[in-house]
Amino acid sequence: MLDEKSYVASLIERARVAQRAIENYTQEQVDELVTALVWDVVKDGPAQKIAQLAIDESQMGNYDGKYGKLMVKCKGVLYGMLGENEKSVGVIERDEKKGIVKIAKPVGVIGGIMPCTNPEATPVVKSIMAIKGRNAIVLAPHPRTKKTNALVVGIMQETLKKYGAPQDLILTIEEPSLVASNELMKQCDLVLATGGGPMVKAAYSSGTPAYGVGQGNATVIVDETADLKDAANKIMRSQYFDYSTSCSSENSLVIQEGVYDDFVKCMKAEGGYLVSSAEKEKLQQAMWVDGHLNPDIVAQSAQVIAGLAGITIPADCKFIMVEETGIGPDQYPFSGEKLSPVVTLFKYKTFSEAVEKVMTITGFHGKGHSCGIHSFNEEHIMELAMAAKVSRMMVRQPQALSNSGGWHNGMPMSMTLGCGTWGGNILSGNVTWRHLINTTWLSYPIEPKIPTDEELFGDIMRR
Amino acid sequence: MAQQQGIPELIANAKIAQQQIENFSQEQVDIIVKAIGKAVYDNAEILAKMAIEESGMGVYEDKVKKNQGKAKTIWNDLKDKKSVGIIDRDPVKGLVYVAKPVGIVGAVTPVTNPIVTPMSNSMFAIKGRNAIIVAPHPKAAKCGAYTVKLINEAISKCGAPANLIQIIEEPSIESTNELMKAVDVIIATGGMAMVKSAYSSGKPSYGVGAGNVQCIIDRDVKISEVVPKIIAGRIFDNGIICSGEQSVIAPAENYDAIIAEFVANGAYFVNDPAEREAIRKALFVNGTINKDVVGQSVQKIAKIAGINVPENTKLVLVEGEGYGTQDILCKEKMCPFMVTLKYNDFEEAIKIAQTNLNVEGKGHSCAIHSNNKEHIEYAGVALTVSRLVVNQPSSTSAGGSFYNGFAPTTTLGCGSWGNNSVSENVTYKHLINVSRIGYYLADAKVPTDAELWA
Repeated sequence: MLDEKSYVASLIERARVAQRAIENYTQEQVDELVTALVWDVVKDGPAQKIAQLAIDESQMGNYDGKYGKLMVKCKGVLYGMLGENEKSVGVIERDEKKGIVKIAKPVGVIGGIMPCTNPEATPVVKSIMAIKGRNAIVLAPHPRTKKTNALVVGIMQETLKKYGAPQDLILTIEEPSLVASNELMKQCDLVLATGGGPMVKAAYSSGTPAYGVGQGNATVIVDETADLKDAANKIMRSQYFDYSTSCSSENSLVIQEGVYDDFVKCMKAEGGYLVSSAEKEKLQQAMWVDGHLNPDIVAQSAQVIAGLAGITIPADCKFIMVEETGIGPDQYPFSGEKLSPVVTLFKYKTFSEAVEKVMTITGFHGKGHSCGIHSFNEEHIMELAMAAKVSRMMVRQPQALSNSGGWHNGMPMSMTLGCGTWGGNILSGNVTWRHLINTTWLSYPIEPKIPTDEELFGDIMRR
Repeated sequence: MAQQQGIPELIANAKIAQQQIENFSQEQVDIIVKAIGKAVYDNAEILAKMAIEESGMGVYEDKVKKNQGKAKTIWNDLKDKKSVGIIDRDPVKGLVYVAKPVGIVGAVTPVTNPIVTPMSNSMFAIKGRNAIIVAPHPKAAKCGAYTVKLINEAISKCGAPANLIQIIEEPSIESTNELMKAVDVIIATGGMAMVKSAYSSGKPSYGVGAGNVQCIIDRDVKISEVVPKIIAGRIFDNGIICSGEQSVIAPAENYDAIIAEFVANGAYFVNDPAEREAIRKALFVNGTINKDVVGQSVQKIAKIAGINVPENTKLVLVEGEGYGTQDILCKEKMCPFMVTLKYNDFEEAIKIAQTNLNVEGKGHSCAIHSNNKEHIEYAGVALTVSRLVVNQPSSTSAGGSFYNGFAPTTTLGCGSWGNNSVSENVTYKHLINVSRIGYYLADAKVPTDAELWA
């Protein structure tokens, strides 16, 4: 067995050869290829098989969530990259006024670092984003989900073969390790890192340009104008979806005190279980070990988590609610990210207090990621929008089903959510194929408009 | 002189200053940005003089022009741009874009542009309501510090808090690395090693790549118009700009006429083997550029090479013996020397240019002089560069000018080709975080499977 460095080098070399072979693909060829890649994954048969293996192997999430992600994410990302305005080959933009013509070109070999929470759709989404830009990709799966990854990659390689494209366009590290991932990041042309904090930090230390993500801890305000029933239903769907494996899921709700009781009723009607203070104590001991989130509760059902905590909840309970007043990592862990169908409830009086709570909660955990609001008060919506240090804020939507793009909003479909410098990332937006191309700017001379000093500097000249 | 505070103190100061402008309005921010540009514009001469004396590189008149020109073009570009609050609305997608600060910017600035890079990076940083700390090149630390001092005097009259713009007064590699690890985002305008350390710092970074601008002359151009533009581009500031022309790639049958036009415009042409070898040895040491020739005059370099050139020679053209790795003269020269190469058909011109880029300068810029749109776009499609400058002097155009549509800057991203994250000119928009507010689209169109798979 080769050492990791040479092993990764051999993968990169094969990927380079494959990339050169599609360097001159036309837009039609590229678009056909990405469409075929997704179809062969989401059609009946492979999709069910992948979803099941993802559950069996990772022991996280639920079948409907895994299957749903394949359907929504793979199809959605594909849909977002097809069409007249999604040109990734040749001339992609002409600005006559500025005399600029933009021409898209491949970046080369992408290094894709993947999480164990989304092993079903992430390899597909990263691969089609790469190929849309005529790149090759080498994937580094999480050790916990390497079989699922191998299954998905195998299907995609078959498709490549069927369409006469080099199979080495999509390669994977077969025996994943930290060393191999680090080597991949060093040796590729561009890193696409979706993973935990240390992995993303490693990406930005690799010497290679990188797109990373940040930790989630989405905090959502429910104000007095909200449609409480609608809000509760959307939050339930988001919480229950794949047992909240998504970094986008609601983790804390900040609720106006006047509607608090009614809202909690609506949440109970949707399958929420509100713990007592004694149960809360037990839950906390089960969910955090030595100050760290217990991996055994991540993306588990409410029943499994309750079982570990030694509390009894109804069999049809979909998510657990915990009331909290304090915020902070040590004393009040429920205010942080939980990666499970457990949501924390806070009460507020004035709206500025609500905004302050969102800022404080996302300020210590989930910096730059997401927040949301259920409200019909446009002033409230904009007050939060102007203040919150997050890259995305969903208005009246289920977080996990929306902030990485959904049919019902305009967010670009993605599985890599940049969190800006707040989260230690270069980009405060959803990463798409557009980030995986180089662009040549062709500049023609234009008729200049040169301002006089008076026009340009104006009154500052007299200060 | 009292010893300057360490990096932790600079960071602490910057944090306080940034918080003070966190809620500034667009007008409050713009008046400061304008004042930064104006301070350098007004002090262009003294700053140019200091830069020349300290760095020992470049041409005084050109540095003055550069100080004035960059101050004007950058402010002119920034003056109407929204960087505070709501910067864009897309009603069809139900998205509202809100700009917010990135925090503290760390700017690594080069010896070749010791005045305008701290200025432009500061303008971009403040435009986004950030604080900035500059780590200047040690050989241009004094003029950099003086630039920052003048800027700070100017902006203090415009409502800027203290320490919004700071500079490391006694920079070193250690302090620069320490700074890079402590800031929120890095702009590294420097050599490849410095850029690599930025991308290894653990912090998100914008870097630049090495230049090696290939200049292709097509058959259909008026030689008497093109040659002066190339000369102007090449000799500006003694050729230290990374977007300066390095190679002349000329059609074989017009080659002699083109060379003659260069000579008529003040060039000295070399195709004598001994002189050529002497020049190679003067310009390159162990395969890399000799630091002693960077930004120096023709006469000084001729002396190093031990060759005689006429007194008023503006630049030296050396006929290359092959291209790519075949002749080291095809690498970046950063002084008023160019290599000349012949091509037969246009495809060969592109091949020569690309082969040279593969040795050095991949991802940076190329220039073309042509009236043939097909050739121009063919070059645009074929060459792995972030900028292709058409019918303009490259050195003074690729970083943006009144005469083209490039964003005015002093930091030129070179894409993954140059180990950078962006393949465009770095500007204020790279130094803001953007919150995307997504509304629910009740009437959204969900495609059917039939539509999707067609």
